[in-house]
Amino acid sequence: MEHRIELRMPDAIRVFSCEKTEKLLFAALRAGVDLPYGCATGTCGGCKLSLQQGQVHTAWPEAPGNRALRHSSDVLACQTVPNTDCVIDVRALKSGHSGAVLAYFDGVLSRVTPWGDGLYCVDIELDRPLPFLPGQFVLLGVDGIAGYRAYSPSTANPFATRLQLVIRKSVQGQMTSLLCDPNRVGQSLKVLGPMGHAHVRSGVDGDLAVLTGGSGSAVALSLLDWVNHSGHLLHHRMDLVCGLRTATPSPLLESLSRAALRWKEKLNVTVAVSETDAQLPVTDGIRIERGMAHEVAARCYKLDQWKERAVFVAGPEVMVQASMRTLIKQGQIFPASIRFDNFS
Amino acid sequence: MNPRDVEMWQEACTVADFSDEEMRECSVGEQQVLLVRVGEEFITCPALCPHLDEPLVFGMVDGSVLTCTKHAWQWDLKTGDAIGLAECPLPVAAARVENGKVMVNLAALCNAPTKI
Repeated sequence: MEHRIELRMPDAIRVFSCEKTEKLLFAALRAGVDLPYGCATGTCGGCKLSLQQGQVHTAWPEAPGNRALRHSSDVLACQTVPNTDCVIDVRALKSGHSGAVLAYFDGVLSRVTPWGDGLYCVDIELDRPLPFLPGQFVLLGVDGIAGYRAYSPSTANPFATRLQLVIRKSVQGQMTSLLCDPNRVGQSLKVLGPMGHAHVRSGVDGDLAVLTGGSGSAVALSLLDWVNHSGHLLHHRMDLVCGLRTATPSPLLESLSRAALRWKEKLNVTVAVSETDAQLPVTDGIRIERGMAHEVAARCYKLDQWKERAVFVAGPEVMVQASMRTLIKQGQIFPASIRFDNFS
Repeated sequence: MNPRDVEMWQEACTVADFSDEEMRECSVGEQQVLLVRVGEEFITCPALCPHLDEPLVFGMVDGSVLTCTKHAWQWDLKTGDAIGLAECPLPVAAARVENGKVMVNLAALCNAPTKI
């Protein structure tokens, strides 16, 4: 059974169908309707809508994103499931939609590889290719764990049926504990994607600058995979600062080193090591510096030269916020040219 | 006269409270406001971003431009006008200093546009 959803936007009315148990945001994106959203998992509040007619229920009454709700009619699209046909008003927001339509995929956890630094490389076999743009994220769900979680792919092949993610294992996190457990290989997963606005714009983007922290290094790897395949660095430059706790030799460091050696003067890679007593090993092609990613960026790069670039920021909330301050204040970079997806 | 036109100057903090800070969140009566030092002037505005209620004190100020770094909304504090990505103005009002105390007029903020 489906419900008819009428979205009243400032410049148009869009009508789409929502499955009985489907969340409004996913039904809209699946129908190609560009709703504003951020995390898509109930945390940020960026998908607030105003319910005008109809009845709904929320999948997560305690969602942190509820702090954005100001009126009794306000709902979070990513947590709202319609009980009836609905009429909904949408605020105007510039979302920078990629044009890709959201879809559901069946996945199987196929490989778990510890990468050190608390990070794991997690492979998921999909029932069909999930086309996404470098910088975008996907949502994963598992039976028995409420809700979805967002993770960024570390590759850029839109035709691949193997999704590779970089995940930081959280002791308290049910989902990351499962995904980072090699004993759970074979686990069935529900995958939604692609999602997110902080993606490359092929044919538009020129020089790039990338700041990542922790599992945000997936975005760095995805962008490197893309420049390797597209030849983007034949004509453009890329500065990359990858924040990690330690610089322990790992497949991640090897990937960064390989890319830096391949592109030499076109690609400038620095690893920012945050743990004060961590060793700083010599690694071919890349510079290893002590400090947080945003500090190292300000110290080692001419941020004012990033003004004309597409600047990507990905990582934990505190890292993203510190990087935003540095880029805007010290680099005088216009906020609209900084691409980041907000997860809190 | 509209009751909102009545000036209600109240103490928010002292100039000394600022030390090296550019902005402070203060309680004035039952309302939270943000006080920002712009050169020699003090400007007051709501404590929360009109977008998604992020505390603006977590943002940054550069000259007269206030940025909520959560979603990079910006305003010119001298006018309250939205800049760049911001989609609505920010209520702003000049504060005044009396005997080292920073005084704000809440009525001026009440007259400003509401949140989106």
